[in-house]
Amino acid sequence: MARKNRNPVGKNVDPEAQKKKTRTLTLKSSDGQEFSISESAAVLSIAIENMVEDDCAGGVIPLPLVDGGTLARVITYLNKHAEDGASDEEKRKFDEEFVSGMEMGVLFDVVLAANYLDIRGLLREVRRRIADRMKNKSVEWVRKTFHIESDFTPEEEEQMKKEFAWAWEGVDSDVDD
Amino acid sequence: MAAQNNLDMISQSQPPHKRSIVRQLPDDLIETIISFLPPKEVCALAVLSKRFRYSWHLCRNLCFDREFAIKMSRDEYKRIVNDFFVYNRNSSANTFKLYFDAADDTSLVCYWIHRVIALGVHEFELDFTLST
Repeated sequence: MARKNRNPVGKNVDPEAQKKKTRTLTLKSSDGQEFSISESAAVLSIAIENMVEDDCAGGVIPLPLVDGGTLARVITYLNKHAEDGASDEEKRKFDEEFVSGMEMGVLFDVVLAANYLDIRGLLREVRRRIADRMKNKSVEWVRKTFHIESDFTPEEEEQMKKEFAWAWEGVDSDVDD
Repeated sequence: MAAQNNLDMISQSQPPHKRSIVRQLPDDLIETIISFLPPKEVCALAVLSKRFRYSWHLCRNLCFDREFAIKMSRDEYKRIVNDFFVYNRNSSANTFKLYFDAADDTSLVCYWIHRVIALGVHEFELDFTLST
């Protein structure tokens, strides 16, 4: 849980936590769409939590780096993870399904948003998922997908392939789909 | 096949509708994504560009299993696995799998295991099968 343990855990219901559940915040995407979300879900984002704590949130929290479609996805994730009584197993299953159908471009949008909003669990999940899709891809595919330009000379590249010859053993470098 | 892929990439990156902004991830983020790949793939990607030359030092998927060991001499295997620990500069890792006859190298294997515990791996598999 990202929530700071400011209140000692007691047998009684933490009044502050209760308040967070009922209090709602409004998040505004880069394209001007507004979304309501409970504070308890929103503060799973460390960045939002900091804004709320510094009281710079006011009524509406603008998120100029996240578009509406992506923000809607992120909010779905946050709501699930703040849900009362959702077991770890249930959340794990949700995470699995949440990212499984996403195309690479959407994964990029979500990973950027998770990075910017500092949502650790989501960031880890999406990074892992992007890495899964990189398996057995050629270096050229990775360069194109991530817009990386090589600054090695062909000689340097050859040299490095020799240095890591064991890593190139049996690699069919053009098998991309 | 490579040429076909080029065409695919171009058509994907220039759609006619509004989603034409090319999404560029920051290098640090790309590097942490790469760190989830297994050792072989992470090392093969050292040629991406100079920025990613040493990204394998962040590898968090330390899977040196039977498949990894195929076609590798014992000495080569030992050197490579050890390099991953000597150069590692990540604070955590996810997986550690070992396929190695540890009999003559117990102190080395102990060193690896100590490192792995410090990295807090969740998935841990030791196979000391005697390789022939």
